[in-house]
Amino acid sequence: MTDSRPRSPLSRLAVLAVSHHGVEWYERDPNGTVRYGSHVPPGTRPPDIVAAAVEARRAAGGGRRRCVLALDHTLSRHRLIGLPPVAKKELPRIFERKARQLLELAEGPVYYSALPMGEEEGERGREKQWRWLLTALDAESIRDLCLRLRGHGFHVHRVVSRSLAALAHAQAEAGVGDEPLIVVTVDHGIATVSLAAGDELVYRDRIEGDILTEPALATSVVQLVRTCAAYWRKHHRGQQVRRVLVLGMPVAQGRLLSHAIAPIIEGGTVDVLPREGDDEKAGRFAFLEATSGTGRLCPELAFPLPSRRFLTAVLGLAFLVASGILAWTVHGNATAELRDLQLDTASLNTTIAALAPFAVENRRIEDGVAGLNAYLGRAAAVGSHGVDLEGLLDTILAAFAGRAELTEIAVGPAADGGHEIGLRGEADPDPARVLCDLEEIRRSLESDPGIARVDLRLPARLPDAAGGRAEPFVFEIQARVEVPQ
Amino acid sequence: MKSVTNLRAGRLRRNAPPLVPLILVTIALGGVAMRPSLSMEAARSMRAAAQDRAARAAGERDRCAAFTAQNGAERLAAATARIRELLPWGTTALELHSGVRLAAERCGFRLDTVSVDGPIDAGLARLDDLVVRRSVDVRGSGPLPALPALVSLVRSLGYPTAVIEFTVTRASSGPHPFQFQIVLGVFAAAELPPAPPLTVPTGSEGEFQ
Repeated sequence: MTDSRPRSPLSRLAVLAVSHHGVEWYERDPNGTVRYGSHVPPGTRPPDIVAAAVEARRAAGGGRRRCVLALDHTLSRHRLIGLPPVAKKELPRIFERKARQLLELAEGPVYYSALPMGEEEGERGREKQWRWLLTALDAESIRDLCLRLRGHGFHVHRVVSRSLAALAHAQAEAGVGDEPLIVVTVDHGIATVSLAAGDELVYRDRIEGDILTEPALATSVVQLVRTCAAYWRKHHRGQQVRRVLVLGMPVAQGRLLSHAIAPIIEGGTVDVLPREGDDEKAGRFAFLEATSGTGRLCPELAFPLPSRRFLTAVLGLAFLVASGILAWTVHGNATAELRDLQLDTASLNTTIAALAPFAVENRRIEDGVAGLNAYLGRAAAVGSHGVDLEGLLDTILAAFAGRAELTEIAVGPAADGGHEIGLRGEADPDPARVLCDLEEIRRSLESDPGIARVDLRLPARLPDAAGGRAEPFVFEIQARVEVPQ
Repeated sequence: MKSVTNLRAGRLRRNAPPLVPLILVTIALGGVAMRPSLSMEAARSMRAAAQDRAARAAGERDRCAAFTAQNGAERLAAATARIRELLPWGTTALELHSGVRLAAERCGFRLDTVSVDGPIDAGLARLDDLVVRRSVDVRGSGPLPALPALVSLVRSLGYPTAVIEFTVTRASSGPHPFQFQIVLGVFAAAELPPAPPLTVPTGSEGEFQ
């Protein structure tokens, strides 16, 4: 069978539609060839369903390709519920309890997914409520099912509630945006009527029974559509719903139903998917293909499965082997480098030990030089003691020569540790000459760098010249021996 | 308002069992691989320190070789000995008295008195020995220019001598016109006095605070 309709990227995924009543495999090749197979499971346990899935895929001639696991209303249950405003952290506990109620499970784990659907005005004094689309799964059975499917080569890429997925697909097909849309989906043994507006599911109800084999049920469906339209008018000031879409019925029956619905939405449009096709399965194929649809109203129900032990073990072992080889290489290189460093250090230490006597010898030499310097310093200190007698006498005799007669020299230690010089002399009593001579003596003494603070002491009066011969002029000089710095 | 779901809850807990031993073994392998690397820095530091010490030791060897090549040890010992010989050892008062008298006679001085004091510590650095100084008081008469010769002659006799003080007075004309008094300091080496014994405070006299 060939179908040339445009396809979404996700329609490359095959569809594995699962219910307790039948398992179907549907896939469409890029060239439009449809492969379809179905099988009724012998029981309701996961092994029975998986066996039926294998048979269905074999009947379809399908291969090992990724697929959407589309669950029916018995395996994934959903409901619109209203909750008063509660703390965010309380929501998981509430949803778990609600999901358990929805699944009618007394115990055991449950999966749930709750999508907020906006606020609902409270009626007659009741407080506002938040509306949630709650989808619930029996965690143990769905987990068992998925693990078994994986074991049989089914690569489950997505898990969806097929009625919600079909609703999302219908919204996308209708292209109504935020406008209200009534969607009638026909699945095996159930017809669902949904009223959606944008991202919000406003109303949803279903009719048990196969509308394809029991045409009388169509009346109930039409009534539900009428109820939806009336609900919208009531809550939106008389605004009409102008689009209805029927999905999952053979073309001819779908058109008949659309004719029955058309009067309800005056001036509106009723679309039927598929729009054309003579095959009696065309409606079913359209529904199955719609289950791969995505949208906000279609919660993704896939959950992480435990990794495959063998694969994990192989990957872990490979990782460990690679890590071990890397660690061994790094360890070997580092060890070799460390050993080289230690050998270098040991060799250097041997060299240092061999050279150690030179350092000892040098310390001994330095001690010898220091001792020599100490003896030199002490000898210099001995030589600097006392006064330079010869130099001092030369200076004094030179200063007095031709100017005065030296009568006494006294050099001795001073109280402050230096040496004092005391000189006494006799000069010509001629006043004009004596002052000149004494000044010359003083200058001559001061010109010697070894003599300082020359102090000339003259008598209070000049000697008398009694008897025709003048007495000599006696004077004294005090000075300091300057110690050279 | 966001959606609320528990579909992915407990993912870490489910994946932990295979991950934990993997992580532990990886950490252990990393530890084994890194262990030599942890010692690497210390080993590098030790080698660098050894290289520095080896360079210094080589420098010591070169210095020692250069010193030895110039007969440094012998020259140093000789210089030290010569310096030490400048100070006579154990000069006695009688030796000094005789030496000064001999020098005065040779310089043409007429001595009146020569007195030699006992040795006192000169206050110079104490090395292997001690420097002591004796004061020699010389009194007499003679020519003034010969006074420095007297000191030089005493020094030439091997006595390091310093002029501490002197007084020269003109007395008369003739061969001995000046009366003089000169005090010489004559230095010599002497043995170090024995070190005083260490006393440890006992009883109530000296308690450590």
